[in-house]
Amino acid sequence: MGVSNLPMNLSDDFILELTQCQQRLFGYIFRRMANRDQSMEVLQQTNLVLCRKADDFEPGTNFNGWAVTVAHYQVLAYRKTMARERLVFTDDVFHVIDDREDDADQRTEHMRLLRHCYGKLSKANQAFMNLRYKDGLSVRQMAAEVGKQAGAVRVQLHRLRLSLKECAHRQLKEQEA
Amino acid sequence: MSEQQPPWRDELDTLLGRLVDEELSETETARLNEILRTQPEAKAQYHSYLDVHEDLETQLAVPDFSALDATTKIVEKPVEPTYIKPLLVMAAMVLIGLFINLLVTQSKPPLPGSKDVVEVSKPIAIIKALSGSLVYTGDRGLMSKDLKEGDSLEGGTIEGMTPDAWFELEFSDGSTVMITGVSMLTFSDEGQKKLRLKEGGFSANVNPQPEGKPMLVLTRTALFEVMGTRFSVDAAATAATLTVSEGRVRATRLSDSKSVDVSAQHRVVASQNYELIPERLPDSVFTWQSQFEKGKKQGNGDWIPAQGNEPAHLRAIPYTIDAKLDPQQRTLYTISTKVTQEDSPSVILAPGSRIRVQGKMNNPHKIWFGLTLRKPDGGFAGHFQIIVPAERFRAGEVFDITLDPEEYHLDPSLKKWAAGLSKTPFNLEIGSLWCHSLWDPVGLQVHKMEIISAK
Repeated sequence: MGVSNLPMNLSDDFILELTQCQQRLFGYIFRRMANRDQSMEVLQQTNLVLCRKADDFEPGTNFNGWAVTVAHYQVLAYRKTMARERLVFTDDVFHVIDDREDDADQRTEHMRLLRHCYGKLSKANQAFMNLRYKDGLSVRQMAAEVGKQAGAVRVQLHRLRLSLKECAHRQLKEQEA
Repeated sequence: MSEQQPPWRDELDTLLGRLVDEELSETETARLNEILRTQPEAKAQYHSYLDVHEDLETQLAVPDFSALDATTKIVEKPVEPTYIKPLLVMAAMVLIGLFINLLVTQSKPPLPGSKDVVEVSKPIAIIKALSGSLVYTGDRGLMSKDLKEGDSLEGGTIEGMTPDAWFELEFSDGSTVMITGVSMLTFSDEGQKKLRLKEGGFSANVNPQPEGKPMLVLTRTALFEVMGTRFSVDAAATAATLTVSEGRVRATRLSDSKSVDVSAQHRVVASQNYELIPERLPDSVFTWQSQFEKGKKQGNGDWIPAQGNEPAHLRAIPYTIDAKLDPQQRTLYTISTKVTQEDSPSVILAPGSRIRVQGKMNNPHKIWFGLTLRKPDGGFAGHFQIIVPAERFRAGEVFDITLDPEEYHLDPSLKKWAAGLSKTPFNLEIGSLWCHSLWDPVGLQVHKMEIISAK
């Protein structure tokens, strides 16, 4: 126990890279775990391993790629230690989902398109989405906040996500055309 | 004619909506697995939906990574790297730190129609640092839990809700006051600073005050008048203890209006049970043990008297995080006990000391063991903690664990303020010992806590 085996000479570059990749790492882990708490635990383990192996990192090389590889192994290790019934995905489904190229450029472009599409939502719909994503309210809390049934909130959230998904998809097609 | 969609597509979208909203039932989880397993095209749909969710979180949510936030600060304003960098590592290690930091650093704009907005009309102080669960109530009764460093506050009441709470306030003249742990302090400054400590403790570093307008500190049992000094106050229902590090403070016992001046390195207990006579601070001690058999005065937990073979003990008590801070409204299960008491010498953690904890839990679970430390002037020196894995415990069996404080780390949620906190837990006064099982009610109970000195 403890951190005695951790290197004490983490460079500023390393810290900066680690900092900048947190959101992306969490996204990578979350879509494989599909559980927020479990994803946070795996993210912490990943950060720990990255720090332990900081000496292996060569400045100028692809930090994100390295970090994602570490995260991948941490996800696998976590799944081994966790009781099957506590995992969202079965092993075979996990392997299906896990088999995906993590294309950073594509993700950046998707985010840009989604931002554009979000800007096209009505102010009311933006405020509605903000309740979920900016203020972090659950569906039930949102229902209380907007005075609707939870079911209606669930449906509206879902429709807005689908509409954003379709919008981003359409924008991408238009760019490619 | 439009292209016919396979029926599972809509169902998958619905399941994915429930997945990202954390509402997926066991039956739905099984169905989600089935679709993903049997429909090759479902994989792309899954990732596409998750892309939208992830991008919305990235763009709309306040980042909930304390390491991210803290490290950004470090890069902008470099400080001594020798301890900052390991702290980043520690930040990544401890979930509670991440969570607490999320709680206190999230800055949320007011929701339409919401009433929990702090309307600041006449700021008298700013928040210098904070950590843990805190509630601020402004002068007009407006509550806020979304406090963050740099916020300006008008007069009001600040409450520390959990043993790990810490809050430091700086008045416009540079005087600072700080509460730690479960405490409640009301403050105002309309030409004269007035503080009322309802419970718990606070320390202050007060710059010289205007002639004839000393800072007034009121407790249930005493009034302290401060012109410019360092001091700390601990208040309980029937007693208030004033400890003066520098300068001089006038103490008045409210029950009989008797007053005394308390000078540096002295303390006085204002209570009907004690003579109001300042006494020199006693020499520190390096060992300590809890005495739960004597009652619940020491601890913050559910006190259970001895029964049969079971010694008196404290059980973890639940603290449910407010929905505004944690949408999942999770509950923290925690136990804490004061170490340095108002009426006893300071307990100092010496290098080589060990911390021994005996207790029990129903279900083995990793446990966070920690201690809250104070500087010699009563100021907050940090929370240090260690996580002991579940493998060290057995269901329903007494555990007796001895911990090396050398392996404790500064609470990652305090990383931002690490430069002003201690780098190690040693040679500092131990304010309290605590432990918790985070969100899981595992029936944690503690029979005894002990500081064992170096051999």
